[in-house]
Amino acid sequence: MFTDYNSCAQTSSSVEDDFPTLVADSDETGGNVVFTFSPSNAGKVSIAPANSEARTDHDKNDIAKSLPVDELGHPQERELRALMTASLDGDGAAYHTLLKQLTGHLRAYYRHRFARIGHGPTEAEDLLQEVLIAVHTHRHTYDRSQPFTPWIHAIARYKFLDYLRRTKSSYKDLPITSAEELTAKSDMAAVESGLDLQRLMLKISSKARQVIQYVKLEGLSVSEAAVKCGMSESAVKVAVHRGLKALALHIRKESEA
Amino acid sequence: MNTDRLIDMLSAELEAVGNGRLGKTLILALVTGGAIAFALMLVTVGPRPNLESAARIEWIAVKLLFALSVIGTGALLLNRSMRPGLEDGTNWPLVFFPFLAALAVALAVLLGQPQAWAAMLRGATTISSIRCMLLIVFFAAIPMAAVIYALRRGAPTRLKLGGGIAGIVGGGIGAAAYAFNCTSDTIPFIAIWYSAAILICAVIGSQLGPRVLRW
Repeated sequence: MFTDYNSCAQTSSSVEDDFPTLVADSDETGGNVVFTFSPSNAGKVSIAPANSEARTDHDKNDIAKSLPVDELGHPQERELRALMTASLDGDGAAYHTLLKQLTGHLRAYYRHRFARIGHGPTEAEDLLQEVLIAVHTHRHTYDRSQPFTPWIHAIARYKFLDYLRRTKSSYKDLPITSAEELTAKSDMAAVESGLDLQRLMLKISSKARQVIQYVKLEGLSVSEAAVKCGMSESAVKVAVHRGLKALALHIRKESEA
Repeated sequence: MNTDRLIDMLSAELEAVGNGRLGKTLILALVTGGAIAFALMLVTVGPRPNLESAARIEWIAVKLLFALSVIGTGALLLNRSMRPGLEDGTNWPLVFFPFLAALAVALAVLLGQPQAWAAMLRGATTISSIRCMLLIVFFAAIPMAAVIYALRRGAPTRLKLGGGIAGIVGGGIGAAAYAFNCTSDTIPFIAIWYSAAILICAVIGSQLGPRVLRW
């Protein structure tokens, strides 16, 4: 089943998780692969946890093979990439849509993995939020001339490995995955993360807290916030950026504890 | 915290991001690191005497050619290592190409003059090789820090690899600075001792990587 999936994805770069032991559990790897290919319902489709769907995936794979695919072999690549390009140009609405869709994909990606290391969906949601902030503060590392799916997959994978390292979890039987697996399914059922934003906000500097409060939570424009704080606009932007980075650091520390 | 709320927060007042920012940071780090290493060479050991003579200029050019090819290939790979998703499309062992090329030339030179092996490998004085390695690593420290700083601006996903290449690039810059002082004018000396010094920097970098590059 896993090979079926690979053959329909025409990518040359098969990203492998470099763990020492790769014990392929056929049930799990099969259950992993769920396609939601129609761009019109992308992001709205909610897929139940992998195990319950495991037996019906084969048919979906066959359908997926018969569909036209873009250069990456992944149906959502083109749409996500267009959203990302618009986001980098400053289109907030496109960015909102992009983050929503990524949230669905990342949630499915992490819940499955967290279940395997015996961690619950709350921790998965924490990591998901950490990744969203990382995507935000590192969005300048995406090269517009490159495909988008491998970029987000590399970040998701890096953050997962980092999580394993800092929580000292072991994950001996991580299956081989490819970049497309991340966007192959989506889970929109949110779980409240264990992190308390208001409490975490208290840990960052008061200046950063105030501008984030104004710009990001109360919806003021940068120039309005600048007037309110008596800072220049660029100082507000810098403070927001630094504040978000500091917040990401605290979220990371929180899940380490 | 509700994830939807976080998304609202992140997408509010979104700022546009240019494409070339990361590349510029890297170039700035290379130039700054190079300038500091060169200045450090001038105030500590200074350039070798009679620098102007044609024969010495030629040897400095040879040494710089080696150092710059190390820096060049390393910087290209570094630029890829700070962008997620390019890991598999990148030929990482390419970073060793300048070393292998230098060793191949050195081997040819050694085979051509079998009677001069010891002299060529030893360099100008008995302590030349030790001095060469120590000075290159010394000059490389600040450029390496600058390169790691640039790398931290990106999103390296393979920290050992990123740190190792940062070490090679920093070591290359250190070697370029040392080239102005070095009095050992043989190809085998450059190929062996310069390479060894740069590879020491690579090992240091790969050990530092997982500690300093996490994000």
